[in-house]
Amino acid sequence: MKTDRPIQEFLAEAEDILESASRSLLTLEDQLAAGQVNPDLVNGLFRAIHSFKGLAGMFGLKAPADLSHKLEFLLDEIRLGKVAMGKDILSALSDVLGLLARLVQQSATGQPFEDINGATGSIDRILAAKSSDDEQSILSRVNIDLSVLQVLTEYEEHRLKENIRERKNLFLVKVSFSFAEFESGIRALTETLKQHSEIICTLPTTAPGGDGIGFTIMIGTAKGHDVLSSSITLPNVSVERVPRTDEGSAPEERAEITTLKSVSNTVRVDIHKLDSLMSTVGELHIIKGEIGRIAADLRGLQGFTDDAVNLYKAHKNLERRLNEIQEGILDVRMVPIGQIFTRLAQVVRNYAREAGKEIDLEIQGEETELDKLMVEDLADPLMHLIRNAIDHGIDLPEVRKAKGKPERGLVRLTAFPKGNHVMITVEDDGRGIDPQAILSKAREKGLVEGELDAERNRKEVLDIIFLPGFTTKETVTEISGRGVGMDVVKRNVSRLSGMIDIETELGEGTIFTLTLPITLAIFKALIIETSGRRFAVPLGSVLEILRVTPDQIETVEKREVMAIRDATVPLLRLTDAFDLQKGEQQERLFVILVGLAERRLGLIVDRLRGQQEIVIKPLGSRLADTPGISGATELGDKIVVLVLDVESLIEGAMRKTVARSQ
Amino acid sequence: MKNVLIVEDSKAIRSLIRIALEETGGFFTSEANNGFEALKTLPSRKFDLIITDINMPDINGLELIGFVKANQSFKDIPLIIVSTEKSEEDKKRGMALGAMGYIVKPFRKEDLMALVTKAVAGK
Repeated sequence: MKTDRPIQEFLAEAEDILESASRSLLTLEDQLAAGQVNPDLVNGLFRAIHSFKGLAGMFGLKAPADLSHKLEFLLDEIRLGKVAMGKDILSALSDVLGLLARLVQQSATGQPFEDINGATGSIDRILAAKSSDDEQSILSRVNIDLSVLQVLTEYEEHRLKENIRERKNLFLVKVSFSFAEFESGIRALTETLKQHSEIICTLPTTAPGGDGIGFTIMIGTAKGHDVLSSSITLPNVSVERVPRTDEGSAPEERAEITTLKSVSNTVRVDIHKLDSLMSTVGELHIIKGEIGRIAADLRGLQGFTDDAVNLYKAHKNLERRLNEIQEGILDVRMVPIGQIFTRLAQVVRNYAREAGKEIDLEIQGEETELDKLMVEDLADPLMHLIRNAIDHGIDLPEVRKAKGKPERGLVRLTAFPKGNHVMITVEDDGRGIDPQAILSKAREKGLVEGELDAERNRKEVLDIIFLPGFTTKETVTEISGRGVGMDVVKRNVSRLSGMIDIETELGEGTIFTLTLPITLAIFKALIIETSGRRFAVPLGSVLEILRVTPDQIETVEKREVMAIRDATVPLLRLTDAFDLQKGEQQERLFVILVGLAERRLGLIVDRLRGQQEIVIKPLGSRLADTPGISGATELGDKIVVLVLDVESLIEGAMRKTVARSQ
Repeated sequence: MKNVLIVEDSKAIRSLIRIALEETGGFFTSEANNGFEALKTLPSRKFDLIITDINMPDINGLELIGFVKANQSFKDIPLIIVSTEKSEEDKKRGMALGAMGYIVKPFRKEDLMALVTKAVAGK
């Protein structure tokens, strides 16, 4: 037993180290893009891999030890400034970290290690291309006590040299504490100092007068003595400047600076600034529409005169350029969904470990692009779906084995574009959801009444799990006391104008499919009119527009439907949906066939009013949750119309179908 | 019983060292996860040996050695550095500061114990 525990500790520790290293790498990527790499971060990364190597070596794991040794060497060269950080190095680091993580998994399961030669080879190539840098004399440019210099590690010495080279001011901050409170005291002080400076080293000293403990902290900063001393609130702290021996000479140019600059051709922008730009584009579209109308009027009044033709051409030109701007801004907003997949991968690892389950996570389509704001808002719903899959879908390894399944469960996360939409699926190979169990529970809770058959109304029954207040231990909502139900997941997805579908097979697994628009920022809408009121329908959900006569509409079980080719599609009159005053009976009507995922609904309207780019504005908080309405938009001429929420209209219609079949 | 302080930020490696000492017998071990903890633990009992890692957060092994060697109450405690071959330069600096020996990860239990025995006997 004695030897078993350290091995478990090794696995846990190794995974933790690699996780924090991956996180550091992501931050590093951001910093590199912004052109400002924090040396602490590189050092942290080095230390993490250093610890990992020590661990792997002590446990006799050759491949992980050899690879981490190589990686440590590279990181050491980077932190000592001997290899300049760049994008290519970053991606090599990320590959090697991924490989290390796989090696740890392989050591946990007793599989043979995969080949590491490719990875070590790529590190060797980077090291072969390194620059050399050797400057001992730099230290002589400042007057530092030998007792300080001799306890510096090689890295700390390197940081000291860098600070000297950049002509930062060096200070020694001296402080002493009683033994009882030194830790909190020194941590508070270093936090303060970090706001103004880089901490090069922290040396403990015996406090003068015996009791307690002293510290000498060496810092490098661009700021002056006054700024530092005034920021320190602790009593008994002295701040001494380290004198330079070469005062007055010009600062040295550094070769690395140019390499940093060359990769920093990106800017980080607050997405709300893009929103307001997009809003302006929306308003320009309205103005463009007005100019279009004036051009048409002018042509009507004057015929094809020079002025009318020129105005028409200018209008077309404006339209083209405007579309270019719009596409440009949209493009900037797009990020690969892989950003959250990485975070979710960490959740899976941690969560599976907590739950005592063995899970493989498979990710596909992480390069699929989606609006940045949507990606952020998707993180939580996806996390809940994954937690549900781990908690309720995938059984413990013993149970799976008994059922003849592989002991390791599978969670697959997939994203792919489909037309104007992006589909995201969360799939598990767990026990599946039993419609019969859902139905009994829902009856118990009084959530459904009447005749619903678990098989015949399978889809409707499965959708019950999205109802607020539905909780069954056998299925989905009791998320280990984390208190989030599927209704919340559904609401979050709906808020993004998305839809969620379930496919499940008892004993085989479950797939949740999210269908989402690519962006919510701006979209083409169809403007329709019914009972004298206009509405906007997102064109992305419109499948077809049909012109019909009233006799083509049939009534089945008190419900209006229409045969469209082979399918019978339920119809909805907007007049009924929003309790509008009924206008005079129309000879001809329009049916707007809308659909999301596999669902279809025909909206009966009086007139079509053309299409237009719209920027959707949220309704005030009191109206925010109105079913069937997702927001409002301005059409020009100061006309404000409501934007239909196709997802909730379909939802409502489906529910009515169920209600009537009861 | 000899009192040994193990300063190492990896729990798994601390365990390995502790187990090696306990299996040999005659050692009472205290553990510190970082330099600050080591500073707090040092006055708690009379230590016969400190085994310390070099690369640690907050204050590193060299700074700890520098502190111990400069302090009247602790300066006679022998120190063993646990390092990796990468930290060649830092290991040398540690020896220059007064550590009695070093051992390189990954080490064999026997090598560690040989060094430990030498360190505590040398007093």
